[in-house]
Amino acid sequence: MTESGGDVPDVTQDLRVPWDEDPGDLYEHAPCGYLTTLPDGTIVRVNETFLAWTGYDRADLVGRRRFRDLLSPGDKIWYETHYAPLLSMQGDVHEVAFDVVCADGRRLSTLVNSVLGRDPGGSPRAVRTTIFDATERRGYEKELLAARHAAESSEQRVRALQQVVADLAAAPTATEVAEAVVRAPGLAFGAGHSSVWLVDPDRAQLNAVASTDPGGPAPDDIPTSATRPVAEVARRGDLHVFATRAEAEVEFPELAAAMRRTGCRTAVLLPLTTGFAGETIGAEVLGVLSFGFAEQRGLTDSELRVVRLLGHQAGQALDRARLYDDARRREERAIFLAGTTRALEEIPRLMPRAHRLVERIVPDVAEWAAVRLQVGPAGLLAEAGGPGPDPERLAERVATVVAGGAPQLTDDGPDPDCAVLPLTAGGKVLGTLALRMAPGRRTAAAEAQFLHDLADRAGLALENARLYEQERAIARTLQRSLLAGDLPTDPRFAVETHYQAAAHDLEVGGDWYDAFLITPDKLAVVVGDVVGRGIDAATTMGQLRSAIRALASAEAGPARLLERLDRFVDRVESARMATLAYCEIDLKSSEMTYACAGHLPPLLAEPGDSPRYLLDGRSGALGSRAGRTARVEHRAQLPAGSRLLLYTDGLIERRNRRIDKGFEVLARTYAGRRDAPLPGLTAGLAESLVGKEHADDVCLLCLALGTEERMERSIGADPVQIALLRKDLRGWLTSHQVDGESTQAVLLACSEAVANAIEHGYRDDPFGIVDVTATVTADTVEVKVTDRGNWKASEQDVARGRGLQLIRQVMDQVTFDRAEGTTVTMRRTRRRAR
Amino acid sequence: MLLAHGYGCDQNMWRFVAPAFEESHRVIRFDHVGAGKSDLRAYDDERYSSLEGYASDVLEIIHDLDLRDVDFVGHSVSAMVGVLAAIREPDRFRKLVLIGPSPCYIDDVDYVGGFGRDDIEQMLVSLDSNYLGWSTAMAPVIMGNPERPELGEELTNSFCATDPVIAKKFARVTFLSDNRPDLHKLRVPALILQCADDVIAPAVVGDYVHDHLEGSTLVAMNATGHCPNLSAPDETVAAIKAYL
Amino acid sequence: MTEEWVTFARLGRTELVRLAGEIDLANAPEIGREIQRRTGHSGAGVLIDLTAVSFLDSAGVRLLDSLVGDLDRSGTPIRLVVGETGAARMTLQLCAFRDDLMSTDLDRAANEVS
Repeated sequence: MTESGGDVPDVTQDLRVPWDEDPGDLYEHAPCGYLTTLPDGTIVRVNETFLAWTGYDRADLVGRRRFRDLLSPGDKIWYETHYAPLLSMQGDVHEVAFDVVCADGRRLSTLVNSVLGRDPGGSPRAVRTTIFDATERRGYEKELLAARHAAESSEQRVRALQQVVADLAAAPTATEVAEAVVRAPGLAFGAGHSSVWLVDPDRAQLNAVASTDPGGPAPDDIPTSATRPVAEVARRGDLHVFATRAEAEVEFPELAAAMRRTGCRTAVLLPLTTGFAGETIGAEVLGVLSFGFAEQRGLTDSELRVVRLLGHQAGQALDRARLYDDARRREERAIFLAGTTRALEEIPRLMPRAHRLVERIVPDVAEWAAVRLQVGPAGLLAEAGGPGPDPERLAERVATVVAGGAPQLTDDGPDPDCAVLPLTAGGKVLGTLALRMAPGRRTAAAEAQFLHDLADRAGLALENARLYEQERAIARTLQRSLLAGDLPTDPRFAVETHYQAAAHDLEVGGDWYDAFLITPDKLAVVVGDVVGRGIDAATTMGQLRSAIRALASAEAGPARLLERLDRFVDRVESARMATLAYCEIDLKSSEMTYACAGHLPPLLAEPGDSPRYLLDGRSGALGSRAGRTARVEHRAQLPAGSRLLLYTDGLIERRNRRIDKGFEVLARTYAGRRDAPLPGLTAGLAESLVGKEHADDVCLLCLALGTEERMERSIGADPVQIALLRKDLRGWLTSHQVDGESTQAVLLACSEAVANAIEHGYRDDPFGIVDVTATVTADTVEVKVTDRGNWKASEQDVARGRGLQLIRQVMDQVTFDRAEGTTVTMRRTRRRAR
Repeated sequence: MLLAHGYGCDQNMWRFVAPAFEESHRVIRFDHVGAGKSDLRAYDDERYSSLEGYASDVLEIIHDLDLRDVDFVGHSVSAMVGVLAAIREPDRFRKLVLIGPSPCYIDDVDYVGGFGRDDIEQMLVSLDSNYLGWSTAMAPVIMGNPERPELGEELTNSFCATDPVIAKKFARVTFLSDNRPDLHKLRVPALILQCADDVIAPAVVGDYVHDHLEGSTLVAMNATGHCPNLSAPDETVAAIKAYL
Repeated sequence: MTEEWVTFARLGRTELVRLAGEIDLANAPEIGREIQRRTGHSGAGVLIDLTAVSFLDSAGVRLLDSLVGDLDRSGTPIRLVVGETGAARMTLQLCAFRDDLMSTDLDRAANEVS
């Protein structure tokens, strides 16, 4: 300073205080507290200022207390975990905020600076500490902190809410909405335990669907009418905040108990409502969010606003999810209905269709389903899934529905989910569809529209199947009655026939065979095929068959007959383009005259020769405009022992085989069976040429000059038809000179076997067909009764047991063959002696 | 030897102790997530909501470095972290040294932890006041030198730096945890170093831990306070060496 | 409906039920109901005449069996009049109907039950 040349006077002398500052006084009355402590904190010196601030006597402190002991408990932790370590390591600590507990318990906010003094060896010797009264500053800091807290928590809430709103927008289902909502209180307010219940209007209950518990929501379904807090809040539609357990205790003791259990001191119950924030009228409560805080706390107005906003946001998301759910369910249902209609159409027959229906319904729609149809004397039943509802109640409901034609969807009884709907067609109740919805799924009442649609479609599909069955049965009966008509019996020849319907038997075909005597010595045999299928084809076939019988005459011969049929076809248009092979055999001369109108050539096996096709006498189909209409015929000699085979194209045509190959196979097979007995020959040929999986009807007729004979009948599963069968069988047995006792026995046995087939095999199928074949040889009479029904071994009741017993008593040999249905073969030795 | 610092500080607190073992051991020190120079981004609310998360960290260090026959020295809360880790994978540990351990800081029926729940709540509040001083943003303000922010920097970067937000959560986990039910599961021998006049882990707590840890050894030290590793490193080193 | 197969008459006090034609699964239940409706209420004996029956199956046997059971229980005497041969005789014998139930002569049977 003096280097400047003395221009500037030294003023430090002037500024010196005019009295000597006493260092002792300065220490004692300095504007801050002074403490000197040992390294372990024991106070060794303290100034007046500190004593004045805190109200302690010097004697209370020096040598008796440590600095730490003067701090509040929380600050003691801070002292030990921060202050002391830092002091050890840095040698000083600055600006630590401590609350000093004064002698009267008052707390003094201070800021503390400490310096660690070391001895020359470097070991800690003493700590010098200055203490500033920071009351005002700490007040300011606290405000600053509070502002920062508010800003931070508000920002956190906003961020959390934004996240939740984004999650809600992305949640397509109510469950996902619930899972987004349940996280919100934790994110926005640091809440602990939180759960979401959703209203299930169908079942009038609230279902616990989401929870912050790691184990997910406990199964807890609350009826909306319950007195439980969640249900109550859902009904009230208001936000409920319980700041203390005591508050909760007043209104909801149950909630208070739950709060104690979960260690929660403050609880909030928030209804999730539709509508906009602030609107309560007309807003619908879709769920309830509950959450709690481990610490006791109130909610500020701004927090409450956020909570309410959350309730509305969640409610709107739920509403959207509900609509979305509805739309998706509607779409699924529509797809299901369309799929069901298609699936049912694939199966034309009634019972299989009914079974497919219930199998589609279970488990997609219901846990159990049953279709009952009022068809046949006992009705029909197709059932799937289980367990079924109480049978008595079900029977009552079914009866109500059948009588009233109105569905029964809800019930307060023991089976609230058992619904019964009428299956109607053309205003008539065809039967019922009964369902038991799976527990936890939507109720039948909630699915009413869908179930009505389903029942309508099912009713229509089943009615169509019933009509189909009916027509099929009529057509089949018609066809059988025509085919199985009175074929002539004569010792000079035998006729063996076989007809088998297409495997996937859609509709009956127009194939037929016939054999009749034009005169006592002239036999006509014919096999033909009418265009088309179904009842029309069967009818046309009948007409054509009758026409042939009427138009054939001893004088005319095959060619003339065909000419007459051409004219007949002009009147009966449906017979146009029918094909047939027609043969007349003079039983005296064994000369055959034949003609084929567009039909496959007959196959003749002469004794000792290979079979050959008769390729002459060919002209076009009946009424053909393109084919040759000049009718020709051809003669051939039939040596004794010849076998003539007439057949329809189903026998040799196969999709994957050329027709000439078919002819070859037939000729070879036929040759191989030249010595086989006539009974069963035609069936055997069909079996080996086309098997069971044949796409077309097959019709065969084999004429042999021999004496074996056979009777074939097919009757519907109707007890009334048994008497008609007996009449035929009695005549046939008599014509074969079967003794009276054997006749009685065979009639009884055959009746019992057919009755069994109807009562058991076809107990579920009033449209079943029973085939009866009887053959007679010199020694025995054999009857085969075949059904394709579904027997259950357990169903051998006492009454039917008596029937079987009778069969065994009157017949010598009885065998049962159960494969796809049942064939009973019964044989009895003839008693010529009597 | 794996040294785990307790709440409130970082690995610096081992500076007077660690050198004494460098001859006999491979000495590894680390900072818990949120403390010292740890990567703050690694902090995860969920993982560190209980001491198990910190125990998992210890095990990860052991796995990554493929450590065996570990002598684990844990101070304060890290003593319990070490106990939890050693329960999970006892085969990795040889011995535990627990400095001022406490399984539960809050008094309970028939248990003295040293604090009431309210004390802990008050402590959490006071954390705010002090972290105000340590946080990067606020340090210059409190220092009264806003024009010299490097002072604040210096302060926060010095010993025992902690991220205030994480520190508060760590404090909550530390002082609200109750690991009493876990003690009996420990199968690794343990040394308990109990200081005189330790308000955070009083002698009764040390006795409790000793009673509930089968095969444990309790050494009552002359050192006072909660951090003998700082206030009495020689005595601490000697006690550990004697035990190991 | 059933008169083709069953007619009712009296022989003194005795009730006479005449069966005719073929009795089988198709008509037996209905015939049974008709007989039950019309007979066994007077306390007098009952005769079932089967001589005109040309066929009898197990359903017919079932019908007769339950009829006999009912009348036996009510203490009403009953006899079945059956030809010496024929379908009805064969079936009933096969089913081992009691000899004391069956008679070949209508008048003798009427005396037995009156």
